[in-house]
Amino acid sequence: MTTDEFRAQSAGLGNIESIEVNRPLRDVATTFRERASACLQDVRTTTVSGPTTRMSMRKLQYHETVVMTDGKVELAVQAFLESPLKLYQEPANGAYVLMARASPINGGRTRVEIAIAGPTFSWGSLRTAVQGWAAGTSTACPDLP
Amino acid sequence: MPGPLMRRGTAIIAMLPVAACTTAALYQDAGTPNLHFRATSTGSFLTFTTVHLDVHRVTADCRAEYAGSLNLWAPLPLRPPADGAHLPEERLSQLVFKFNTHGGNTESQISYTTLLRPRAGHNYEAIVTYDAGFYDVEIREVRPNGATGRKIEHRSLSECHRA
Repeated sequence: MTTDEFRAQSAGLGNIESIEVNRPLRDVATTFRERASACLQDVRTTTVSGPTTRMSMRKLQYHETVVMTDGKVELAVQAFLESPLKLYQEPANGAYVLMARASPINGGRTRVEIAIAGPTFSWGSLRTAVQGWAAGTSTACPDLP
Repeated sequence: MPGPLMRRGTAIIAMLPVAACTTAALYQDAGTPNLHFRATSTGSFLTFTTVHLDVHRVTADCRAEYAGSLNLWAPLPLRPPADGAHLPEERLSQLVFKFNTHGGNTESQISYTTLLRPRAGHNYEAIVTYDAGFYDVEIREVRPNGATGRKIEHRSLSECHRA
């Protein structure tokens, strides 16, 4: 899957939104690089549920990519499920969970389109964090599932 | 005379502290603390998030060797959380801040990892916050005259040779 395919899939599910921020594209790019490296690079999460019904454990490893092409900046976040059993084929670094694409409106303003994989309760904090990074209003990292 | 079930239960309870000790050791370094902590954590409905720090020494070939752990924040802690620790000056340490969220039927963990090479005569302040699904770690240098200095940029272990 490519980020374009992920974007199209998210748009079909209504999980895409666009914001405009009062910052030049290069500042947004710098923040994406710095924050994505600090908050997402090789981050591993462990979630244990139970024992009310059944015990389950899920481990995810996150992978971030920031690419600058054609005057646009793209942040992609993937989550790799650490499991010997895979129910579906996923890209090498895991399934895409967020893609943020920033493009200039003018010298001081930038449009950022953010697509997430699924329900807001899973990826809402990641989207909120990326919105804060883009706007320059927050440096907080999201607590990821 | 206790029955076999009770004896087995007693044995399991007796083994618990030993099992706990094999996974985490208290970080101890005799020097005067040069890294000071301010940690806060705000839970949401029926959840709380504990914060602790794993300290690793970074070797010359960029391997991280576990040195110990400190509790930075917990609700109703058995002992007061650590407010400072000494890291060896002019040597690279890896700091792993771990956030464990407990609530309802679920327990989850996420961590923030960075490197710090303390300069001799300088102090460092780590402000660690967890609030409603977001966390932040900011480390600032404090000059010998007490003035707050530069913010320490995030560095991963892969950047060890540049840090």
